[in-house]
Amino acid sequence: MFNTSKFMNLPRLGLLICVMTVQALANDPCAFTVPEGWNQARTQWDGACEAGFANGLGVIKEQGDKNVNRFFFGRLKNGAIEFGVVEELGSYMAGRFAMGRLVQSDDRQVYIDAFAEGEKAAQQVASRFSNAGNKASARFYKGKAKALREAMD
Amino acid sequence: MVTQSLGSFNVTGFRLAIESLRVAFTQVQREQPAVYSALGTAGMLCCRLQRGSKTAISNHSWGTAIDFTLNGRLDTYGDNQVMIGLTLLAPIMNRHGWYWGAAFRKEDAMHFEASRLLISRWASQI
Repeated sequence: MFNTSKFMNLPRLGLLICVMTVQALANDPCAFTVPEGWNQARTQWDGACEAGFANGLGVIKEQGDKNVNRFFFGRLKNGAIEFGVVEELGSYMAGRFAMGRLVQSDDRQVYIDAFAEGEKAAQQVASRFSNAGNKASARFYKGKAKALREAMD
Repeated sequence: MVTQSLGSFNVTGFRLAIESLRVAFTQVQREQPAVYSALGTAGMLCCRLQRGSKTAISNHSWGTAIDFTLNGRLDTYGDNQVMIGLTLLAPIMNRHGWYWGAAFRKEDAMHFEASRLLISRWASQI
Protein backbone atom coordinates (compact mmCIF):
# COMPACT_ATOMS: atom_id res chain seq x y z
CA MET A 1 0.00 0.00 0.00
CA PHE A 2 1.14 3.57 -0.76
CA ASN A 3 2.99 5.04 2.23
CA THR A 4 1.31 8.41 2.76
CA SER A 5 3.52 9.39 5.70
CA LYS A 6 6.67 9.42 3.53
CA PHE A 7 4.86 11.33 0.81
CA MET A 8 3.69 13.96 3.28
CA ASN A 9 7.21 14.44 4.63
CA LEU A 10 8.58 15.54 1.25
CA PRO A 11 7.87 19.26 1.76
CA ARG A 12 9.63 19.08 5.13
CA LEU A 13 12.56 17.31 3.50
CA GLY A 14 12.71 20.08 0.90
CA LEU A 15 12.66 22.72 3.60
CA LEU A 16 15.45 20.92 5.46
CA ILE A 17 17.59 20.80 2.30
CA CYS A 18 17.00 24.53 1.75
CA VAL A 19 17.99 25.34 5.33
CA MET A 20 21.11 23.16 5.06
CA THR A 21 22.06 24.83 1.77
CA VAL A 22 21.67 28.33 3.20
CA GLN A 23 23.65 27.31 6.28
CA ALA A 24 26.39 25.89 4.06
CA LEU A 25 26.47 29.14 2.13
CA ALA A 26 26.42 31.20 5.29
CA ASN A 27 29.44 29.29 6.62
CA ASP A 28 31.39 30.47 3.59
CA PRO A 29 33.24 33.71 4.44
CA CYS A 30 31.37 35.51 1.65
CA ALA A 31 28.71 33.41 -0.05
CA PHE A 32 27.11 34.39 -3.34
CA THR A 33 25.16 32.88 -6.21
CA VAL A 34 26.29 33.31 -9.80
CA PRO A 35 24.53 34.14 -13.07
CA GLU A 36 22.73 31.22 -14.69
CA GLY A 37 25.08 28.84 -16.51
CA TRP A 38 28.24 29.86 -14.66
CA ASN A 39 30.49 27.34 -12.91
CA GLN A 40 30.16 28.41 -9.26
CA ALA A 41 33.24 26.41 -8.25
CA ARG A 42 35.45 28.56 -10.50
CA THR A 43 34.12 31.94 -9.46
CA GLN A 44 35.45 34.61 -7.15
CA TRP A 45 33.79 37.69 -5.65
CA ASP A 46 35.80 40.88 -5.21
CA GLY A 47 33.60 43.14 -3.17
CA ALA A 48 31.94 43.84 0.13
CA CYS A 49 30.44 41.21 2.45
CA GLU A 50 27.78 41.45 5.10
CA ALA A 51 26.74 38.70 7.53
CA GLY A 52 28.54 36.08 5.44
CA PHE A 53 27.02 37.11 2.11
CA ALA A 54 28.34 39.21 -0.75
CA ASN A 55 26.53 42.51 -0.53
CA GLY A 56 27.00 45.77 -2.40
CA LEU A 57 29.20 46.72 -5.34
CA GLY A 58 31.86 44.39 -6.69
CA VAL A 59 32.98 42.00 -9.40
CA ILE A 60 32.40 38.28 -9.89
CA LYS A 61 34.78 36.53 -12.24
CA GLU A 62 34.64 33.00 -13.57
CA GLN A 63 38.09 31.59 -14.12
CA GLY A 64 38.82 29.52 -17.23
CA ASP A 65 41.87 27.30 -17.75
CA LYS A 66 44.12 30.25 -18.60
CA ASN A 67 42.03 33.40 -18.58
CA VAL A 68 38.89 34.76 -16.99
CA ASN A 69 35.90 33.49 -18.98
CA ARG A 70 33.43 36.14 -17.92
CA PHE A 71 32.77 38.92 -15.47
CA PHE A 72 29.85 40.39 -13.62
CA PHE A 73 30.26 44.05 -12.66
CA GLY A 74 27.61 45.48 -10.39
CA ARG A 75 25.60 45.08 -7.23
CA LEU A 76 24.74 41.99 -5.20
CA LYS A 77 22.13 41.89 -2.48
CA ASN A 78 22.35 39.21 0.23
CA GLY A 79 24.55 37.09 -2.05
CA ALA A 80 22.33 37.33 -5.15
CA ILE A 81 23.24 39.33 -8.26
CA GLU A 82 20.84 42.22 -8.59
CA PHE A 83 21.90 44.93 -11.05
CA GLY A 84 24.81 45.43 -13.42
CA VAL A 85 26.58 44.00 -16.43
CA VAL A 86 27.81 40.56 -17.49
CA GLU A 87 30.74 40.68 -19.91
CA GLU A 88 31.56 37.59 -21.96
CA LEU A 89 32.75 36.70 -25.47
CA GLY A 90 32.87 40.28 -26.70
CA SER A 91 29.34 41.05 -25.59
CA TYR A 92 27.45 42.51 -22.66
CA MET A 93 24.21 41.63 -20.91
CA ALA A 94 23.06 44.60 -18.87
CA GLY A 95 20.20 45.33 -16.53
CA ARG A 96 18.37 43.86 -13.59
CA PHE A 97 18.84 40.22 -12.64
CA ALA A 98 16.45 37.89 -10.83
CA MET A 99 17.32 34.33 -9.80
CA GLY A 100 20.58 34.67 -11.74
CA ARG A 101 18.82 35.56 -15.00
CA LEU A 102 18.71 38.85 -16.85
CA VAL A 103 15.30 40.51 -16.74
CA GLN A 104 14.81 41.66 -20.35
CA SER A 105 13.96 45.34 -20.76
CA ASP A 106 13.27 47.65 -23.71
CA ASP A 107 13.91 50.72 -21.54
CA ARG A 108 17.13 52.46 -22.57
CA GLN A 109 17.53 54.05 -19.14
CA VAL A 110 17.77 50.59 -17.53
CA TYR A 111 20.78 49.78 -19.74
CA ILE A 112 22.42 53.14 -19.06
CA ASP A 113 21.94 52.76 -15.30
CA ALA A 114 23.22 49.15 -15.37
CA PHE A 115 26.43 50.20 -17.14
CA ALA A 116 26.84 53.08 -14.67
CA GLU A 117 26.48 50.60 -11.79
CA GLY A 118 29.00 48.26 -13.45
CA GLU A 119 31.44 51.14 -13.89
CA LYS A 120 31.14 52.06 -10.21
CA ALA A 121 31.76 48.43 -9.23
CA ALA A 122 34.86 48.15 -11.44
CA GLN A 123 36.15 51.50 -10.14
CA GLN A 124 35.65 50.39 -6.55
CA VAL A 125 37.55 47.14 -7.12
CA ALA A 126 40.32 49.11 -8.88
CA SER A 127 40.63 51.37 -5.83
CA ARG A 128 40.78 48.36 -3.52
CA PHE A 129 43.62 46.83 -5.56
CA SER A 130 45.37 50.19 -5.74
CA ASN A 131 45.22 50.60 -1.95
CA ALA A 132 46.60 47.07 -1.56
CA GLY A 133 49.56 47.99 -3.80
CA ASN A 134 48.48 45.73 -6.68
CA LYS A 135 48.99 48.23 -9.49
CA ALA A 136 48.49 45.78 -12.39
CA SER A 137 45.04 44.67 -11.17
CA ALA A 138 44.11 48.26 -10.36
CA ARG A 139 45.00 49.27 -13.92
CA PHE A 140 43.05 46.33 -15.34
CA TYR A 141 39.86 47.25 -13.49
CA LYS A 142 40.26 50.96 -14.29
CA GLY A 143 40.29 49.87 -17.95
CA LYS A 144 37.12 47.85 -17.39
CA ALA A 145 35.48 50.86 -15.71
CA LYS A 146 36.33 53.03 -18.72
CA ALA A 147 34.94 50.44 -21.16
CA LEU A 148 31.71 50.21 -19.17
CA ARG A 149 31.42 54.02 -18.99
CA GLU A 150 31.77 54.28 -22.79
CA ALA A 151 29.56 51.33 -23.68
CA MET A 152 26.34 53.31 -24.15
CA ASP A 153 25.90 56.54 -26.12
CA MET B 1 7.51 60.68 -29.70
CA VAL B 2 5.55 57.45 -29.48
CA THR B 3 5.91 53.99 -27.99
CA GLN B 4 5.06 51.20 -30.40
CA SER B 5 5.64 47.49 -30.86
CA LEU B 6 8.20 46.29 -33.38
CA GLY B 7 7.30 42.63 -33.23
CA SER B 8 8.86 41.06 -30.17
CA PHE B 9 9.75 44.33 -28.41
CA ASN B 10 8.52 47.88 -27.86
CA VAL B 11 10.39 51.05 -28.72
CA THR B 12 9.93 54.67 -27.76
CA GLY B 13 11.18 57.13 -30.35
CA PHE B 14 10.39 59.55 -33.16
CA ARG B 15 7.18 58.36 -34.85
CA LEU B 16 8.49 58.48 -38.43
CA ALA B 17 11.68 56.68 -37.41
CA ILE B 18 9.66 53.85 -35.90
CA GLU B 19 7.55 53.65 -39.07
CA SER B 20 10.76 53.35 -41.10
CA LEU B 21 12.06 50.62 -38.77
CA ARG B 22 8.78 48.73 -39.13
CA VAL B 23 9.18 48.64 -42.92
CA ALA B 24 12.82 47.54 -42.60
CA PHE B 25 11.88 44.84 -40.10
CA THR B 26 9.37 43.35 -42.54
CA GLN B 27 12.29 42.79 -44.85
CA VAL B 28 14.55 41.49 -42.03
CA GLN B 29 11.86 38.96 -41.11
CA ARG B 30 11.64 37.77 -44.71
CA GLU B 31 15.37 37.74 -45.56
CA GLN B 32 16.99 36.96 -42.20
CA PRO B 33 14.41 35.16 -40.03
CA ALA B 34 17.00 33.87 -37.52
CA VAL B 35 18.30 37.41 -36.95
CA TYR B 36 14.75 38.73 -36.70
CA SER B 37 13.84 36.23 -33.98
CA ALA B 38 16.97 37.08 -31.96
CA LEU B 39 16.53 40.85 -32.23
CA GLY B 40 15.88 43.02 -29.21
CA THR B 41 16.72 46.57 -28.28
CA ALA B 42 18.52 48.66 -25.71
CA GLY B 43 16.19 51.48 -26.69
CA MET B 44 15.96 54.51 -28.97
CA LEU B 45 15.19 57.54 -26.84
CA CYS B 46 17.39 59.01 -24.14
CA CYS B 47 18.29 62.68 -23.82
CA ARG B 48 22.04 62.88 -23.21
CA LEU B 49 25.36 63.97 -24.65
CA GLN B 50 27.47 61.76 -26.88
CA ARG B 51 29.90 59.63 -24.90
CA GLY B 52 32.96 61.62 -23.91
CA SER B 53 31.55 64.94 -25.17
CA LYS B 54 30.47 68.03 -23.23
CA THR B 55 28.69 69.65 -26.18
CA ALA B 56 27.65 67.09 -28.86
CA ILE B 57 24.13 65.75 -28.38
CA SER B 58 23.47 62.03 -28.91
CA ASN B 59 21.10 61.15 -31.76
CA HIS B 60 19.23 59.06 -29.20
CA SER B 61 18.05 62.39 -27.77
CA TRP B 62 15.83 62.86 -30.85
CA GLY B 63 14.62 59.26 -30.93
CA THR B 64 16.20 58.77 -34.37
CA ALA B 65 18.81 56.14 -33.37
CA ILE B 66 18.45 52.63 -32.01
CA ASP B 67 20.74 50.12 -30.31
CA PHE B 68 20.07 46.45 -31.03
CA THR B 69 20.62 43.35 -28.93
CA LEU B 70 20.87 39.80 -30.25
CA ASN B 71 19.59 37.18 -27.82
CA GLY B 72 19.72 39.83 -25.12
CA ARG B 73 23.39 40.64 -25.76
CA LEU B 74 24.92 43.98 -26.69
CA ASP B 75 27.94 44.13 -28.97
CA THR B 76 31.00 45.47 -27.13
CA TYR B 77 31.78 49.07 -28.10
CA GLY B 78 35.10 49.85 -29.75
CA ASP B 79 36.67 46.38 -29.92
CA ASN B 80 36.60 46.29 -33.75
CA GLN B 81 34.66 43.03 -33.69
CA VAL B 82 30.98 42.72 -34.50
CA MET B 83 28.33 40.10 -33.93
CA ILE B 84 27.62 38.20 -37.14
CA GLY B 85 23.89 38.83 -36.82
CA LEU B 86 24.53 42.57 -37.01
CA THR B 87 26.49 42.12 -40.24
CA LEU B 88 23.41 40.39 -41.70
CA LEU B 89 21.11 43.13 -40.43
CA ALA B 90 23.20 46.09 -41.62
CA PRO B 91 22.66 45.83 -45.42
CA ILE B 92 18.90 45.74 -44.94
CA MET B 93 18.98 48.73 -42.59
CA ASN B 94 21.22 50.60 -45.07
CA ARG B 95 18.68 50.01 -47.85
CA HIS B 96 16.12 51.75 -45.64
CA GLY B 97 18.34 54.74 -44.97
CA TRP B 98 19.88 53.77 -41.63
CA TYR B 99 23.61 54.19 -40.94
CA TRP B 100 25.46 51.46 -39.05
CA GLY B 101 27.72 52.50 -36.15
CA ALA B 102 30.28 49.82 -37.07
CA ALA B 103 31.61 52.32 -39.64
CA PHE B 104 32.06 55.10 -37.06
CA ARG B 105 35.56 56.30 -36.19
CA LYS B 106 35.30 54.05 -33.13
CA GLU B 107 33.28 50.90 -33.85
CA ASP B 108 29.77 51.01 -32.35
CA ALA B 109 28.12 48.00 -33.99
CA MET B 110 25.00 47.84 -31.82
CA HIS B 111 24.07 51.34 -33.01
CA PHE B 112 22.00 52.34 -36.06
CA GLU B 113 20.85 55.88 -36.79
CA ALA B 114 18.67 57.58 -39.35
CA SER B 115 20.65 59.11 -42.24
CA ARG B 116 20.60 62.81 -43.13
CA LEU B 117 18.50 61.88 -46.17
CA LEU B 118 15.83 60.30 -43.98
CA ILE B 119 15.87 63.20 -41.54
CA SER B 120 15.40 65.75 -44.34
CA ARG B 121 12.59 63.66 -45.81
CA TRP B 122 10.89 63.51 -42.42
CA ALA B 123 11.40 67.27 -41.94
CA SER B 124 9.08 67.92 -44.85
CA GLN B 125 6.42 65.69 -43.28
CA ILE B 126 6.19 67.33 -39.86
